[in-house]
Amino acid sequence: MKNFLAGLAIVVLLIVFPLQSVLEISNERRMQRFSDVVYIATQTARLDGYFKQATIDKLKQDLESDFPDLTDSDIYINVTTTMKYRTAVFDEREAINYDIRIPIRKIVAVPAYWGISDSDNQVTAKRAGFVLSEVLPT
Amino acid sequence: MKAFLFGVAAFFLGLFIWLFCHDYNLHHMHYIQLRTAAEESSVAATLFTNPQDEKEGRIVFNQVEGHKAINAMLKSMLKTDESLNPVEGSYWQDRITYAAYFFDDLNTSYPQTFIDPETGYRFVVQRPSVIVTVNAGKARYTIDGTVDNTANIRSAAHEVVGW
Repeated sequence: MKNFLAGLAIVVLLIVFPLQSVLEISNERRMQRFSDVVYIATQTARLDGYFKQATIDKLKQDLESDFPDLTDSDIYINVTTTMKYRTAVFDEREAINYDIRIPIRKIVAVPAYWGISDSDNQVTAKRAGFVLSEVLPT
Repeated sequence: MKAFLFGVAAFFLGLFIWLFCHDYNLHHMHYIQLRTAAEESSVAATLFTNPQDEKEGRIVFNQVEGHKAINAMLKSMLKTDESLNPVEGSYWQDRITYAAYFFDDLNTSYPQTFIDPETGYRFVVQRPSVIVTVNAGKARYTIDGTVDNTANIRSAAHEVVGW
């Protein structure tokens, strides 16, 4: 009986590690998918010269479709919405900037085990940067 | 006592395996992002060409502006300062270095085979192209020696098609 109880305690102690690993793999896939969706939107913006409303709407739609737990208010989007042009010399003012964020709500598999509250058990995934416009000035 | 020692050993083994998986996942994610950074850098560099040559029907890259674009792209995507040293929030810890190879209508007779000296990446240049090879240094592993932690290097080529 003593051995059984000791074994049980060890199992309870060790179960956290595989659970945490599985959660991290799942979160990594989420981040990767998030990056892919953002990448498609930025490439569209590069061709258009800026983030058209249709591109922003499609981005939101793709994110909500891929991550059903997200609502419209969860998605933060701050992107260039004025036309930028391809220039002969590098000019950061003509860059199409983007800053897109979504929450990842579970980063620790068994938060109660470590005394972490649900509000602390989250992080924001962020993709920010710029692309250069391919639109030639008329 | 034996059960206790076994429990402690099992805990540390579990911790070690989890740490490895955690670091490996993080490394994998940033390694893929490094590829994207190399791709975006090569795209950015191809956008700067000599307008006079374009008028004469040739694509000749403006390498000075191309390097400025590559630097800005790497600084933004890999979170570095002006000298490409990683800043707070960056995954990478070593100074980022890169090599850019410009093949255009002035300096290339097509096709030309390019083999990257750092990665062995083989690319047949058929048209104006820019190849960027980024070396981001070693990955972050909590326990040294768990993997063969060599430098993380990615190459990407971008061609000007339809010209």
